[in-house]
Amino acid sequence: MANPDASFAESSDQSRRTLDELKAILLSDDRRKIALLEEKLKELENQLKNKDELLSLLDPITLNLLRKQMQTNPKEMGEILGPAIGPAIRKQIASAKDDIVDALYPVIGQAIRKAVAEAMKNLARSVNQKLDQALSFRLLRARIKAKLKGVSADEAVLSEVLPFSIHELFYIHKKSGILLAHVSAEKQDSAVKDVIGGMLTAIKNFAQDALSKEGSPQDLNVIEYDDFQIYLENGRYAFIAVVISGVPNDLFYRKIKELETQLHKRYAGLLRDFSGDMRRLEELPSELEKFLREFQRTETRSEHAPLWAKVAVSFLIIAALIIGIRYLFFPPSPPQQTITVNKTAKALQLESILDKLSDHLPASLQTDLKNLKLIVDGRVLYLQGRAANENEKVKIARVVAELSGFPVIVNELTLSNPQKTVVEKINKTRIYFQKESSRILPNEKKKIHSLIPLFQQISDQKIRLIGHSDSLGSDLLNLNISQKRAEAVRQLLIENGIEQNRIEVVAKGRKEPLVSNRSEKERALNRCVVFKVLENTSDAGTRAH
Amino acid sequence: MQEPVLIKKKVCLLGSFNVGKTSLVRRFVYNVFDDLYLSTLGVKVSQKILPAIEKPDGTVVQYQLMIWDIEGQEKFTDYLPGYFTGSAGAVLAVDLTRKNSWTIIPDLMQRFKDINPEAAFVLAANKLDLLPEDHAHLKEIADFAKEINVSHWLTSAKTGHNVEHFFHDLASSF
Repeated sequence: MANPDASFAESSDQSRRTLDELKAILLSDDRRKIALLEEKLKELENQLKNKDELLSLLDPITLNLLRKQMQTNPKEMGEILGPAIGPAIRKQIASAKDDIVDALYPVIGQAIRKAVAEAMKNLARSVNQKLDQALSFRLLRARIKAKLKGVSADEAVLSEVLPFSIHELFYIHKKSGILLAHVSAEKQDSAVKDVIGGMLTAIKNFAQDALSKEGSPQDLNVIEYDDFQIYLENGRYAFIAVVISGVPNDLFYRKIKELETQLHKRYAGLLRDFSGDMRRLEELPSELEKFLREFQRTETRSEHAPLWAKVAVSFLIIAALIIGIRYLFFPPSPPQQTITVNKTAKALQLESILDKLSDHLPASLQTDLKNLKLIVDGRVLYLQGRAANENEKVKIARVVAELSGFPVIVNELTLSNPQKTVVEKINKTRIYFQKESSRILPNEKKKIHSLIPLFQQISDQKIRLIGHSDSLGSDLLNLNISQKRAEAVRQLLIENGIEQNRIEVVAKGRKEPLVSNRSEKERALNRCVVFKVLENTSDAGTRAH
Repeated sequence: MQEPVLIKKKVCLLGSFNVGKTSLVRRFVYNVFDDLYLSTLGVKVSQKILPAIEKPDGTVVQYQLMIWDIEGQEKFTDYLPGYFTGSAGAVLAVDLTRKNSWTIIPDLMQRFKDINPEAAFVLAANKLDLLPEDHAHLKEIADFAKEINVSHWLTSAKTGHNVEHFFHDLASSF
């Protein structure tokens, strides 16, 4: 018989299985979905735990969110992000300075360039403005002054813009640096002037010991600071240090040198072995004071032109304007030169100047002084004529200035054709010989030597040497001797570097005497060699024995 | 007393590094310049006018000392000779506590004499304030001064001890 409990249990198991099967059939979809959800959930959990994955998840959202916020609430976003941006940039700069610099360089470089260019432009504009304001009339005045003084216009203009003044003057013992005397243009006397004297000497010593090349001691001449300069005029036992501002002119340098020489003459004996005893230098400050006063007076005098000069300048300007307008509207047809010269009673004096000229100029002068002319026009002396070269043009004008004492010399000398002058000089030269001799005498040798540089100046031209003789003896004898004379000169020229193929020798004998042979004196003049520079190639090569 | 005669003299202050030369001058002079000069030029000039004194011949003189404080060099040959020229005398400064600062002195003195044969010298043994009274160096510095035939003064730039005196002593031997 069947056990009821057992059958119950069996039926119960059966029902459970059936239920399970039923569940499986009914819930299979749901279960799959749950499993999927669980999987998804796990994936999400993993993504949340993993920073990288979370970031990749949030990235698009954050960006979109920020973009949206920036569009809708830009101001608020700025307020929120502002405080964070500063530290972030600082941190970034600290950690990756080079990267930041590299990234910003093109931008910042351009910005700086632009700013600097703008600043320079402003500066230039402001300087130009100031110069325009300061110089419109002063510039003109400076240029006129420069012309009259014979200095460069730039120098004069600079002096106008940067007025020159002496502030202090020190006279300092060179070896010890002890201040011998000091004057100041300012009322207040410097309490530390002695120390300044010492320090200036120390600076000089330093430059001398530390910077001079061995064997060639060099003196310091100028120390510059701010708008000032300390100009040092070095003497044997002492030096002058002058504190100046502005642009010094030639007068200053000349005067300071003169002062140094004057003080040296007076105090050299004392300063050679200076004991520091200041008793014998008591007059020194007043000497410096006097120099300063006189210099300032000279400067002031030259700064402030007298009334007549101002009137004259104004007149000149008006005249120039009238002439300018006339030329503008009525230009001259053919160029005409009208020179009106007032010859004054000084004519005689001028002649004597011309006579004396040769005594003051070197014997080797190539300019023909006879062609010079001096013309006086008011306070101006015009020097006219032809000079052989630029150097002689200047030299002659200088001597004329010295001899005449005129304040203004207008050098109107023109340069003669230098080649022509050389040729003329060579062609005029005669080399003289003794009777029946072809030996070149010492004095004649000197003449030939002096011609060598001239031959070199016309190196593309040939030279003909023409031998002559007196009338004594036979034709053949004279022809031979004249040939030998010319050959002797040729040999000497070759020995002195003149190319052989540039020299031709021609013997004339007694056939073409330079002067008549009536007296011994004339015959001596015919015993010579004459030079002839050949003008062109057609002249060359035609020997006439 | 008659009007004194003003006599200006150049005096050099010589010695090794860190012996207190500049402090000695600062204690002594009226006009103090920036010490920058020392490091740039290697020298700093100061002045001091001493009280008038009567010389044995009856003349009353007043010395104005131009003191050239010359930066200490490692070797005596490193000194620029230009700084020595035209000097009437020199103060040789040493550090009492550091004997190696004494060794350069004889050569330095000779170099100075070569340029200024008539020069007068005094030895300023500085930093006395750092030594106890019975320290051996005090005896040794006296021997050293005798050896180089120079009068010596124990000084302290810190307290000002003897600072005026050694300058006066130097001036009295001009």
